[in-house]
Amino acid sequence: MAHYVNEEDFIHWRCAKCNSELELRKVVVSYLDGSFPVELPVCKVCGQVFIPESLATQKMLEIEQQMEDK
Amino acid sequence: MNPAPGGIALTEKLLNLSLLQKGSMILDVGCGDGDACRFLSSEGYRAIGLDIVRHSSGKMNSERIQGQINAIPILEETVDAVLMECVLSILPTDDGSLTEIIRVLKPGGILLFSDLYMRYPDEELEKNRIDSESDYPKIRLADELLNIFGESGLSVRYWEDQSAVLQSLRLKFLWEGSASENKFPYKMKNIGYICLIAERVSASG
Repeated sequence: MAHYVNEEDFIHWRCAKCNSELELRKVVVSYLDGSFPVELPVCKVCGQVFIPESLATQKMLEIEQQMEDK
Repeated sequence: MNPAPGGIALTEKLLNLSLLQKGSMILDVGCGDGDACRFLSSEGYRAIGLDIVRHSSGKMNSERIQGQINAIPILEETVDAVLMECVLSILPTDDGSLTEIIRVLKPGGILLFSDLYMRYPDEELEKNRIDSESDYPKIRLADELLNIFGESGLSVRYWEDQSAVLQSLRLKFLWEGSASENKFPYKMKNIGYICLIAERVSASG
């Protein structure tokens, strides 16, 4: 399974809703019609997924652009 | 893992749609490392894998032979079904592979098929696929695929779009960085994935 987030990327973050720590968990990422399991930080209590800014503005942006043939 | 889009889940779907009886003999053409053959064997079918490359990895509990699809080293009217996953599009056009598949199928035998297809006419794709020297997949419209099968003596019982599995595989490759988008010189949005079930209706020539 793909994992692209290091512990230092989220160790200082807590869930705003639960004030709980985050942990890496399998999450299914979907875009357009595709879906794929990756490991991302998730709130231990409510399961809210945390996407680090670096991942959102770099890798995920590149993938979105390629998926859309841009 | 089964490298074809959809993996074993799509193989299982095709198998369920085929209504093949347990114990039926199924030839997997372009079997690769034999993952689908292992699955078929585990489900109670007699699986034979055919591939141009001799793969040494992985344990096989089914028979595997080396050879080309347009010269299958099997007697005629021997197998109950042929599994062909993401293979036709990478074969040379009109190389005799479908004729061979029909030859080895018993009358009434079933083709379990999945492959890339063109979702709607596209000049860019058209230009590539008619270039016989091209190494790129020969991606056809669904109607063309149905015609090719019909003219070969295969009656298509059922087909459906499975493009989501291709998008998922593409998403996986992009996340893992394990495929270069530059391998395809054309836009991906017009490329879909199709699965179908066809039945041999004519006698082999």
